Amino acid sequence: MFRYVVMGIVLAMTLAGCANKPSKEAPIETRGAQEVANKTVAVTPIKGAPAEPVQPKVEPVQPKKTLGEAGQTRPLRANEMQSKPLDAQAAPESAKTEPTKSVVVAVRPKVRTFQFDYDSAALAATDHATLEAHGAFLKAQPKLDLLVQGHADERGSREYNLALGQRRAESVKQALGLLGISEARIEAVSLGSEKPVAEGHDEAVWKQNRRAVLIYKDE
Amino acid sequence: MNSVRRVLVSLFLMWMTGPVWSAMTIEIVGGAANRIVVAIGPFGQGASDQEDVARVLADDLSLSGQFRIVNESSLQVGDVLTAGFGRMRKNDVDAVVVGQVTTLPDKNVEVRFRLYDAVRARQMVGFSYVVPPRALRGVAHRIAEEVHLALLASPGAYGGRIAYVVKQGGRFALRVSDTDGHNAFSVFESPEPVISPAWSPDGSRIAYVSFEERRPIVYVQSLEDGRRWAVARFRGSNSAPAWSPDGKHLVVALTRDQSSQLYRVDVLGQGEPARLMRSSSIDTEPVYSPDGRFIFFTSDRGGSPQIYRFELSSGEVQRMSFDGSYNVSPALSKDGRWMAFVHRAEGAFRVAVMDLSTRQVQVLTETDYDQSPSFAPNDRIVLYATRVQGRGVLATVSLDGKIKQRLTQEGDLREPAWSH
Repeated sequence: MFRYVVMGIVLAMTLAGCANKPSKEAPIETRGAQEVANKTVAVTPIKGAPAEPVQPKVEPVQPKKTLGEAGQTRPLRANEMQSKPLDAQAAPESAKTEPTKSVVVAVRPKVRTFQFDYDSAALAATDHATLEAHGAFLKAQPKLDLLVQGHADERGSREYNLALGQRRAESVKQALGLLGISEARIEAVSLGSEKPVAEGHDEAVWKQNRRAVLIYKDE
Repeated sequence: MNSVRRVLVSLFLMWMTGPVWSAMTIEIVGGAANRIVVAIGPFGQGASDQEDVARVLADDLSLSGQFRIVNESSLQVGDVLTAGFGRMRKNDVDAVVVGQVTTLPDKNVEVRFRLYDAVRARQMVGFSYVVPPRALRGVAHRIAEEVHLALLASPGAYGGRIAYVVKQGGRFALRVSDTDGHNAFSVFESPEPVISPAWSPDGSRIAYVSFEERRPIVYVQSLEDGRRWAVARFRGSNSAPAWSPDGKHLVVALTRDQSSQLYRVDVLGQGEPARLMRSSSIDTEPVYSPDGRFIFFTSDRGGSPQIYRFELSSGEVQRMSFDGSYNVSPALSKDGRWMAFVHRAEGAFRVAVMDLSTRQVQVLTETDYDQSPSFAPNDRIVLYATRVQGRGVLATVSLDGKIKQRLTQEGDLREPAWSH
């Protein structure tokens, strides 16, 4: 039913002395990893106790703002000041050159879209499995927040559609709340009928456009 | 002065953002059964680069759908009385306009016109205007108003301005033009959607909703100096701005407390928003009644979206629309007599109008995707957005449903609003 994506994350630091220090910025925590592991794949926590079999190897990377306190060999440039905290997407180059090092696994449910009936914000029974998968992922990733975008088809009032899209987004937010996810982590917004995913003017198109979409904040 | 500044802001915006928006085309798609025939003589021109007042006047009157224009190229001031009206009557001419444009020593221009009743052979109205040359189009619109009023005993809709949104090439522009589509300029342009423009009561500012921050936020922008500021930027959606009659507040729809609810906010965006009602339903699309007593709005509190009105003094809410399962987007005429709205019947979304004294409803259009109705300053015409052959266009319809215009330009047009 659910397809899980495996993402490799390379933890890289500028100084060897930091190798065993927990990184503030590591997006994956030990907690919750076991639940994920049960379902699919081996998980190596970065934070907390050292885990077998991976030995984090120190790889020099471009200095980042967030590692500044660990010691810099040259001043930060202006553009580096704007760089994001080191995370999965911040070290793609290292990942390419050292693919076998420090592989940490996170799983993200692939299904991101919920569809709705006309003028309705009710989730379908078949959405439950998808919601549970996202709930499990959010529990495994307590620092990762979620954006839910609600949409409507083009018919009728743009303003009413905006409110309807908001209600759809709130439906998803509340459903995740019932699964134990803090609603403070979930931002529900509406784009009304302004951002159709399909162009056209028939029921097949309208059906695709009546939707709520989940976007993780690190995406 | 204002118009000079407006042009500068417009040029600045054009330079900033690049795309050149095409001119608007207005055509009559349904006219009055019996149009009044008006002969217009040449007004003459003070200078070759000046506006042709007679031509602007003729376009205005024929686009109203109420008049058929006969150009009388040889007609001069003074000719009418000496030649008599016999020749005009032979050509079924009902009324005659003659005029003259003279450049004065101080570079200002004097425009004189007289309107004659060709049947009774007497002058109906006559005026003289002295203006700078750049105001000649405005004078032509004024003359059209005078002719319309004299011949139909009701005001026309020639001098106002409209705001609308154009989507073209993945860009959105909030544009303002004269009612005849001329003098168009961009108020705001963005790669993200813009919806729900609303004119301030004095016409100097426009409130609108922009998605430039990836969620809807309500802004007010001055048309005089181009400055703008957010009046509602809270968590969730901020939308549906409606001006209070005194222009000091706006009512907006916010989802900061989950479902879409109505709040009053300060025009400068200061202070905390004041919530008007508490419902668990969707409340949106507020609009003040012209006397300030009521706020009309759309709500699904009864199970389907319908129009209600909220009395500010008592807090009472009364349902206004009953016919059908989808009635939205209320707009009110300035005289408080009419409510235009979008009514769904058999899958088609059409502009309807309710006589608020009798609650009788009449559907005015035959198009299927109507949106965003608003009244012309004369309260006799409704401007709205619709779709023709898959393309977004603007359209007008008279309250009797007989006179219809279509306004098109390159790209998709939507979200029109007529200034008061």
